[in-house]
Amino acid sequence: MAVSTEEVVEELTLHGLGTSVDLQVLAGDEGPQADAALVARIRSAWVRCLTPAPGQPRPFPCHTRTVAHDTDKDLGLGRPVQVRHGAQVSPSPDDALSMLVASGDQHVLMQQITQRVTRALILSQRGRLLMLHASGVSDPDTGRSIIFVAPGGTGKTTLARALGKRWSYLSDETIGIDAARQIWAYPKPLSIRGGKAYKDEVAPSALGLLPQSAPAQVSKIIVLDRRGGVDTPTFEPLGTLEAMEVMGPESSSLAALDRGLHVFADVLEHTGGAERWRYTEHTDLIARAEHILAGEV
Amino acid sequence: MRSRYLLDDQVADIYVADGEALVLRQESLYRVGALALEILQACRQPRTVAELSQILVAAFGAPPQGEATEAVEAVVDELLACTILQEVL
Repeated sequence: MAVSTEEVVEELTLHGLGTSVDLQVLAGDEGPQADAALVARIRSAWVRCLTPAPGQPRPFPCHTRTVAHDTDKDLGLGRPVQVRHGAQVSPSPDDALSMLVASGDQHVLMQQITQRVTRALILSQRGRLLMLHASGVSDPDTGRSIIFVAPGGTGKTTLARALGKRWSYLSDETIGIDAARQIWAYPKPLSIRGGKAYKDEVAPSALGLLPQSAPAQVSKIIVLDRRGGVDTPTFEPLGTLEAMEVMGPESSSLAALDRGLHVFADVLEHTGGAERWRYTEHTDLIARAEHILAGEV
Repeated sequence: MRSRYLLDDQVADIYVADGEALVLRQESLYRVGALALEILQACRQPRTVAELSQILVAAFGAPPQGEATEAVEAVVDELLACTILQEVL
């Protein structure tokens, strides 16, 4: 872990997508009590990421991955995310690659941590995994999994939250898939707006969501299309080309993955093709999702 | 000197299905039809419009109207605009 010139009050390692990122909480402006409160809040929200998910397939040795490319260095790969409760301080010339997030508002800070950690994990797995902007749940016994691909604000978190009380929560944001169709979960705190101006970062355990307990494999990929006025949801099969075209904008670093389109197509074809679910109310989707998870579709 | 065209070196992958294809260049996807796909595959080495016209006529027959070269030029222009094809010296 890189050494900060500022006082580090806590160091955590957050796991997700089959890799990990270090996080350092730095001494803030409000004193040790506020720092301790921040650490407790981070630990609570990120509780499912404090250890590698049980039942994960063999981990990639990414944590100590050598930074080989200048572009990776520029993006901060391999550097810890640093968090400070208080004003942003100007980075010194030696700290030009700082991954520091700072704010006097804990809500803002928690959101920024999520964004920065997610970005760091995705960067770390560039070229290794097919990574989709998706939520997902899996059967805690069989590992059968369904993932929901969609742009932000169109139902991913809501579905993960609704299904995760009975099925294992994998992520509400990003799902990594390898060439063998194994899922590399990222059980981050759920980002819940709840009518407020900001999103709360809420621990999956606080919402009663089940942890992952078995290696997860993709069983079905769903493209969510939430819109108003759909009284009866539709479940439309998508051809491979169309599915990849629709989901392309919701993928991360696809071009960095060797034969990325072929890997993506292979996942789709081995899981019976993607479906587009057009709906208004997420409750209309639960029964079909549970049929898929139970292997009945 | 007649222009020659080559598949852009930033194209990371081409996935073909049912005579169509998806082309991945950097983080952008382009869906291309049969004529464009034939051109892209031929342009793994530098090609002139005349060469491409011969290849397309051999594969699909002569166009019902107009010259094959005109049809090829139109597709080549679209592929250049998408930057999945590049012009080379």
